[in-house]
Amino acid sequence: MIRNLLLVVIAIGALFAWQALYKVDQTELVLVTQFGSIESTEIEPGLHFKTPFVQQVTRLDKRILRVDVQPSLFPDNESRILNIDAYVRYQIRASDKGIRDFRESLITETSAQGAISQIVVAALREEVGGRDREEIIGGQIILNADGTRTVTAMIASDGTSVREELTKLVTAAVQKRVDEQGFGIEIIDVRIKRADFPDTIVQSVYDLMRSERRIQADRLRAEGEEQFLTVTADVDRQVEQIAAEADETSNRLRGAGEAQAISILAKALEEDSDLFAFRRSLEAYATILGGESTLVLSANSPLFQFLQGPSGAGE
Amino acid sequence: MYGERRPEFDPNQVLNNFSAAWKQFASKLPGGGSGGASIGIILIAIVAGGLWLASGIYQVAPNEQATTQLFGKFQTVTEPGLRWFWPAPVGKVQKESTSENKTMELGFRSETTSGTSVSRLGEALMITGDLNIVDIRLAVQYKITDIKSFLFSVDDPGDPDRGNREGKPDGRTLRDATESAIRQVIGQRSIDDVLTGEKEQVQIDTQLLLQTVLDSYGTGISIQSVQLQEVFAPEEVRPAFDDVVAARQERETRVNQGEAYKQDRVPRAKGAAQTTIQAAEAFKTARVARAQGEADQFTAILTEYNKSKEVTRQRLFLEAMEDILPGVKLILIDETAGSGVLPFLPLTDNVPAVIGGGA
Repeated sequence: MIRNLLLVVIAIGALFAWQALYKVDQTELVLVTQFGSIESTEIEPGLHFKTPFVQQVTRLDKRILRVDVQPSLFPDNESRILNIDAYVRYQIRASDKGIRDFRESLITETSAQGAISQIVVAALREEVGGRDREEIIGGQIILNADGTRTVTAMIASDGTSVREELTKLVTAAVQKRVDEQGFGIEIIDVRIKRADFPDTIVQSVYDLMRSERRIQADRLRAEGEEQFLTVTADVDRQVEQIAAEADETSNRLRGAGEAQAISILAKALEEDSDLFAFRRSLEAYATILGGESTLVLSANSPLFQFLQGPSGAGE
Repeated sequence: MYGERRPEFDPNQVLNNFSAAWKQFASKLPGGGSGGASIGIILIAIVAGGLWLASGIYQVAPNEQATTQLFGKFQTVTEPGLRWFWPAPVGKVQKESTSENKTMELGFRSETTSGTSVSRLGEALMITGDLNIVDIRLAVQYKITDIKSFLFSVDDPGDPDRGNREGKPDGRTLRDATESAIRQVIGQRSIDDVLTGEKEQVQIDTQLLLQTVLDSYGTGISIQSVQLQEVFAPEEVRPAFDDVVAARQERETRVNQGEAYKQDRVPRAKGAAQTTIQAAEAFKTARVARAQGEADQFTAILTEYNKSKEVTRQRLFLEAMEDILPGVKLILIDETAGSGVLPFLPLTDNVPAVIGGGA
């Protein structure tokens, strides 16, 4: 009997304790409600008291939360479409007002997603619509004098990249809107996860890429031909020059040889030009009078003088 | 998200269990369940309490750290070893591997069983600054360096792909931030820079940007490295890119052919030039030598000739005639036979007209 009574007392005591005490985790914010209305809030983790049975505990997340914005199509300032996939990081303000605002406007983290997502899409649409597609991607294309292109980071007026600036501007715009609507949240950032070409124009982008590569390949091949022809033409010129210079040297040498030979002979022959003429004439006769020649000579020729008598053809 | 939180301690359930166990236990106690009841209760309470306290012993492995929470409030970070902390529902211990380098893949997933990898084109294809599309596969190496931030700062839906549980920021948070960072970095470069020279810089820039973003969330994650595993042109246009590589090689080949032509032709031409020059040199030498020989011959003959001029002259003449005349058709004319009449006119066809006066 006593034992049963003791058990009941312990049971009731435990029940009261469990109803009066509640834990707040390191990652939680707590709302204490009484018959549906917010009685108090608790941001400090640990063990806390409330009125048993009449007060209820509702828990919210204190951590940085994520809203994934559904990828959607955004036109830029020239109506060119980009498929942008963004995400938002926010945090419920860890204050009595923040918790109350959040609870009254957005209710739960899950139902907050839709509302925040809508605001982000509107802010992104505005920001993207006022910019060039290149700005959103973040590169600046510079055409060089030789027809090639250089791409550098596009820098915003604040010195960071344009993508970073875009992130900051959208974040600020979203923060302004959620503050106006009293959501009680802090937007940590809105980041563009992906900015892609929509599926419908991907093929034409590929076509453009192919044609650009074709130009590059053609140019490379033509450059190869240019260099080949430049080198071979130069070689041909050199070869021609070498041959001509050799001929020049050769002729000079031959001429010098002739000149020297003439000079040597002339010097010797001038010692007796009569003898030279005589000998040379004889040699010439031998050459001129070949096998088929007919020679008409006077019988008085000195050659035949002795044909007329041993003393010769004396007058 | 929130609904999947660890189940709360249910007091009624505990109470029911307790009383059921008690009834079963009390009936077996010495004394039949009435006299020594209070002693029994105390005994049981002590044993149960002891067991409960003993369940607070936990071990932190050498690669791990743990956090302790008392009634939900963070207490300390504990290092490897055998430890004790208040068991549930009073205390809570969470362990996390902090010395290990973990990997996250983007654009592909390695299949640990087969060793192959599966591409995820949605993650891999991205736009470059010159509005081309490039296919990038990368791996991020990271470490949990601040377990308190890691566990308590950021909610995460988890990444079932990699077996990441809900609430760990190295799940979708890390993936989102990495995607955002790599695309921002690639968007500032041309496809040629990305494909060729600037891999290193892309890795460095992505790591810096990613770390900045993660730090702004307070994830407690430290990026060890960002490694581009593969960077190539999308499959649809790869032949066109390969053709550029081929064209570049063809250019080199053509340049080499030109060089080969040069190396072949110039030495040959120089050789030919030497041949010409040497031939001329030889001609000159020979010409001079022959002339000298002839001159010397003449001088020698002249010396002897001067000693007996007339006789030698006659002899030379007659010797020459002896050589010449036998091969020649000879016609003699006697001029004394009469003038005015043509003494003889040979009109045979094959007589060459060599008419000599007196020799």
